Parts: sequence; structure tokens; C-alpha cells
Amino acid sequence: MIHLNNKGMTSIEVLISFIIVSSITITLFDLVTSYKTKQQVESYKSKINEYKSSITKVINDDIVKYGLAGISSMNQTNDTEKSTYKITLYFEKNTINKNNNCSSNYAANGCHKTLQVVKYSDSSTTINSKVDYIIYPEVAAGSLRNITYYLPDIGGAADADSGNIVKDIRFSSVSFRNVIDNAVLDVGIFHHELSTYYHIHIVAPVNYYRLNDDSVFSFRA
Amino acid sequence: MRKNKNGFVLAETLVVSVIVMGIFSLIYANYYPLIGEYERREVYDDIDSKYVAHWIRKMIIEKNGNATTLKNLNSCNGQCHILYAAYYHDVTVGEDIVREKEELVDETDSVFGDNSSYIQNYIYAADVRAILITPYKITTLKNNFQANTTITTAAQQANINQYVFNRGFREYIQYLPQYKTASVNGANYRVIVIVDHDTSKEYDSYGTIEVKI
Repeated sequence: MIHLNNKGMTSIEVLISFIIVSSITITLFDLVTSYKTKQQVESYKSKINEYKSSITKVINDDIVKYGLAGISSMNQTNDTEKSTYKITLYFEKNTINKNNNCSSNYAANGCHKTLQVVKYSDSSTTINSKVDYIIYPEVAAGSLRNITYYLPDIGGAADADSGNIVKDIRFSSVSFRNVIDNAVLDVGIFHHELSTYYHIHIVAPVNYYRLNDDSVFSFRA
Repeated sequence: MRKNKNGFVLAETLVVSVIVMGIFSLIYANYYPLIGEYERREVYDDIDSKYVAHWIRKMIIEKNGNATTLKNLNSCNGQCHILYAAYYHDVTVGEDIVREKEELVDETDSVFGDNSSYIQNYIYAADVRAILITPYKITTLKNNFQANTTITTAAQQANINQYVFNRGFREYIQYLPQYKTASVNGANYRVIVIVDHDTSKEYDSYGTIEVKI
């Protein structure tokens, strides 16, 4: 018969084991917490990057495929709770039917698309459920249909002054410039930990194929 | 019944340890490049610089009046042609900075001729810091653009050329694949761009795209 040690552990052994396990746990706690924070920040960055990439791609795809013939100046309208920035892009070819040239009528359906950036005000009393967004049309079943691209909603925190919940990710700025026959559109994205590091930044030549042709408009008032 | 109470022998322990370490090494070797890839996607090859590279490539294909000049790769020891560069960084011998250059190389006039306004306007609007043309396969270029280059002799300095770009750019070149497989589009060169984001974000981003010249 096998002789087993039935004495169990002494209290000293238990105490030492307990102390060792506790020290390891305490040491790892900070490490795990810091990784958890880092993971959260990386997750926000990833969401912002995905958003930025999807918007940049849909707009640039149109510019590359159909050619940017002209672009309007930015129109800003404000109401009690939000600001809306509108810019119209005019294309060389019709986005609904690529075989149709737009040069004779840029106002025709499919020859232009209006980009809208909607930014809620911090002082808005109804901000609690509002997430900033961008509207840009896409072609569906032979006509243009507005698609809304909401910023990723990751919650928010109460504003110190108004007490309203301000979303953690918001648009910080919207700007549009005409830089020597090139359209430069910039939409800043703000996050309280990442600041304004992320921007949707689109630079595209206007009238690329007819740069020196004065008969073609490039920038419209 | 008699049981073996001797535990593991040293050889057994070693074999198991080696196997476990081998497995961990394999996991690490496969996982670590993913971190680099993620960082590269986030900082270096971002979508903005990719589209900038696209437009530069388009202009090179459609508006380039002097393709032969672009194929002259003498700017970087036979491995690249600097079409445009708005700044250079420190060139060092040992720890001493022997030259700090802040100047402009701009060959857009000679290469693009009458069409140079297309690319010059775009460079200005998109805040492009540099445009490099390299062979499609960049194995040798990667050797020339070591991330930790410290030039210790005058001969090395002459060899690596005066065009020594900053560490971020050299790291980007190291991150890039070698592009050993021939391009399905028949491209024989690459465009590499450095885009300046100082006005809003205070960092440079880099992008590359293949081009057939």
C-alpha cells in the first residue's frame, strides 16, 4: 500500500504562498489596468480610422472615377442645436451614367453631389442623443440617395458648464480651401484623449484634364 | 504497486522547455509583424498619403514630358530618383553633425515641361515634402535606407549620398515589403511620397504606389 503524506500544509507555508500570490496580483494589477486603458484608446483610434477611411474613400472614388470639374464654396447654416456645412462637388462625367458628359449641364441629376457635415453645438440642450454626422449621396437604382455616416458613438461625459452630455468623439472643425486649382477639404475629428490628431483630409485637382482651359469653370461662388 | 517517485530528470525538463519555448517563439514571430503592420497602417501608409501618391502617379503617367529623366536613379546610389524634396535631414559622421541641409530639390520643371503646373500646384496644395521614384522591387533600396544608419566614414557618406532622410522615413522603407513578385499591371517603378501634416497634426505620413514609366 502506498504511504501518503497526510499532514497538509503548515500555516507558515500557507502564509508564504498567500503573500507571494498577493504580491504577484498587485504587481500585475497596474499592468493589466494600463493595458486595458491602452486597448480602449486603440479601439477608439481604430474606429476613427475606419470612419475617416470610409468617408475619404467614397469621396475620392467619385473624384477619381468621374473627374472633379468644379466645387462650390462652403455654405454654413446654424440653428439652435447644430451647424451644417454644405459643399457641392461637380463632376466631368455623370455619376449615374458614366457615358454622359456633364460639361453641357453641370446642374443635371448625377452631375453634382452635395457633401454635408453636421456638427452639434456643445451648448445645445438636446445634445444628449446627438452624434455628429456626414451626409454624402451614392448612386442606387439609377438615382442619387443620401447616405448618412454617423461618427462612432462611444458615449460621452457631462459638460462642466451646461451639464449636457458631450459626445467623446465629435467634429472639431470643417474647412474648405481652393489652393491653386486644387480643392482642399479638411474635417477635424476631436477626441478628448486623442485631441484633434485625426482629420478627414482630401486634396484633389479640379479640372485636371482641362487645367488651362479658361472656358471651363473650376470654382463656383 | 510501486510508483516512480523520482520526478522529472533534467533531460526531460530540458526537452519540454525547449518545445514550449519553440512554440512561444513561433507565436511571437507570427504575432510581432502584425503589430508593425498595424502601426504602419495607422501612421505611415494612411489613406491620405495613398491618394496623394495616386495623383502623383497619375500625373507622372499622363503629364510627364521626360520619362527618361525619371528612370535615372542616381540620386540614391542607383536606387532612387528624387523628383522633389523640400528638406533633408542631418548627415552625420559618427556623432557629429557635419551638414544640416534645408534646401529644395525640384526637378518638376525639367521633367514635366509645359505640364509642370499640374504637379507643382498639387505639391503645394497637398503639402508634399518629397517625391521619390524607385525600382518596383526595393530590396536594394531597403539596404540603402537602414533605419539606424549612422555614417562613420567619409566613404560611407559619399556612398549613401547627401540625401539622408529622417528616421521615420527610413523606418517606413524598412516596413515596406520587398515587392519581389512582379506587378500584375506591368509596373516597373514605384512612387514614394512624404506628406507633411504640420498644419494640423504635426507629423509626416508616407505612401507608395506602383507606376509604369
